[in-house]
Amino acid sequence: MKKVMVTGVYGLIAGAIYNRLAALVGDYEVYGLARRRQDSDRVAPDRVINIPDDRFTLSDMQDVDQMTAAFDGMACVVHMAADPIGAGGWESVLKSNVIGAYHAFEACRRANVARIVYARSIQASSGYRAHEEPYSSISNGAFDTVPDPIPMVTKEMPTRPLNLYSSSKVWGESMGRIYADQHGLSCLCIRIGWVVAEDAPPRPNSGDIWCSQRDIVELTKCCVDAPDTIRYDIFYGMSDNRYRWVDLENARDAVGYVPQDRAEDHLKQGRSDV
Amino acid sequence: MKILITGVYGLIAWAAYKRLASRDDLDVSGLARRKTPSERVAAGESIEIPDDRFHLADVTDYDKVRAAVEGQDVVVQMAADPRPSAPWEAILNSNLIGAYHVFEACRDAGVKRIVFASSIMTNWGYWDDEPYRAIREGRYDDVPDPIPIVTHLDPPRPTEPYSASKVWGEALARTYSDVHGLSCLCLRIGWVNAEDKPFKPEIGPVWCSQRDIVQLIERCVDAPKDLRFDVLYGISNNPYCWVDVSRGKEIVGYVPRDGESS
Repeated sequence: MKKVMVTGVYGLIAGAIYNRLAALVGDYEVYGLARRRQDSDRVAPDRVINIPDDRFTLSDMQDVDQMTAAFDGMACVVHMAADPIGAGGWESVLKSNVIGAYHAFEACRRANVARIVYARSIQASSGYRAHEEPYSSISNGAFDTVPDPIPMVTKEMPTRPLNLYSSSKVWGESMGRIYADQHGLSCLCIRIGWVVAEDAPPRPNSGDIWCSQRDIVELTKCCVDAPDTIRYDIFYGMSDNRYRWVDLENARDAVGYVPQDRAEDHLKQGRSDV
Repeated sequence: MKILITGVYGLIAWAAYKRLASRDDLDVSGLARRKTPSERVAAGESIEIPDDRFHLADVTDYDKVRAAVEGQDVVVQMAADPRPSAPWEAILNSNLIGAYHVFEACRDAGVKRIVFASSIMTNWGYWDDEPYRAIREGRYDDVPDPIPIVTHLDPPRPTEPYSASKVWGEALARTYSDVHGLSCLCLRIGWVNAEDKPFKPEIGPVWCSQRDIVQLIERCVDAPKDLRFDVLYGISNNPYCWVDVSRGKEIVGYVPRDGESS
């Protein structure tokens, strides 16, 4: 029985992870942490997340001692709590994503947690999509100019943040590097594609960075289950989309992630409202 | 051209101030949170910045930073806690929040360029990998020739919150350059010390003399306006150097003059 803590547990992705792991009774004992005890606005209204009171911690991640107590005894912390798009501006990014991330890593160290799965968005690489070819052609839907195969952006390539939110992701990955190298905490970072409540690409030209809910849940589960010997890595959390431009081979080789969905299968449904 | 150097009483910043202020074509001012030099600046050196060229401000105070950068062409952002062992609260305030304030104020004020003082510490973790570990441990027979060079395109390897704060600053630089058109040049500054010479085995390959780092800063101030973003290493001409010093020469004409082999 593996004890797993999911922070930001009422978020769209975090809640799906919670439910997936909690359903595997006997394999996982799942806990949640959030700053409110209610679903986020992004979540489908019919979704239910039942977290027993004795497995829930109310925290805005500004108190590292409280987080340490909440993480005590956990084998793995899935750290999802963040301002998900930076809409709250600098103060929100600073509190939730910069200070909150530091506190999460530090609390894991103090509580002797074996692994943290640090999940943030693809935006750490989104400068490629905005400013570099052929990725900007893909984002514009100019597919006839796109080479085949598409040159993949990998974890080894420089990050290309485009805003404070994605800069805070770079900060968090640096924390992962430090806590892995200096403190022996296993740190797996996920750069998550565009996951939405409707679970389909929200715009015609978003298929390259779309990720289905079940794919991101599966990758996260792969990270939770991965051998203890994996010290540090960065994975892209993406479905197997036709115009995908980020590397999935590393996630397959390191933790066995194989995406099940493709954006094209969902685009074909012809959403006339987008 | 109007230049503001923040953290101006630090060791490197003060050396840069003296050089730039000696030029007739530059209008140089300084910002610091105290009106006294850092303890790393040579003892007994007289330090005088005229009052009309000095801004007393802590970079945690956005409004004061904003006022200081008004009308500047180039801001050399060196205000930070320089200690790799600095406690979290100091890193948070001076290096994380402070860097954001300077970038944001420069954007808002229409400053054309930021020269951001990053650090070789962003790559410090490579010391733990071969063949860099062999260099650190003096096992020179285990070091291949040529040495595989770490460049600005390789993943950063911060080792503590201080160096992560420099990665944060570089991420802000990337953002403010790509999104807001601010020219951002990041300098991964090597090991600069008050003694102005290398004194430990793991310092030698990444040491930088004071005049070399001042030269690089000056080259960045003078660099073509269309230079949008780069990350350059500020390192002297050292034996067993394993980071890419050549890019500084290629991009801004930096030619280190010091180092053990010179």
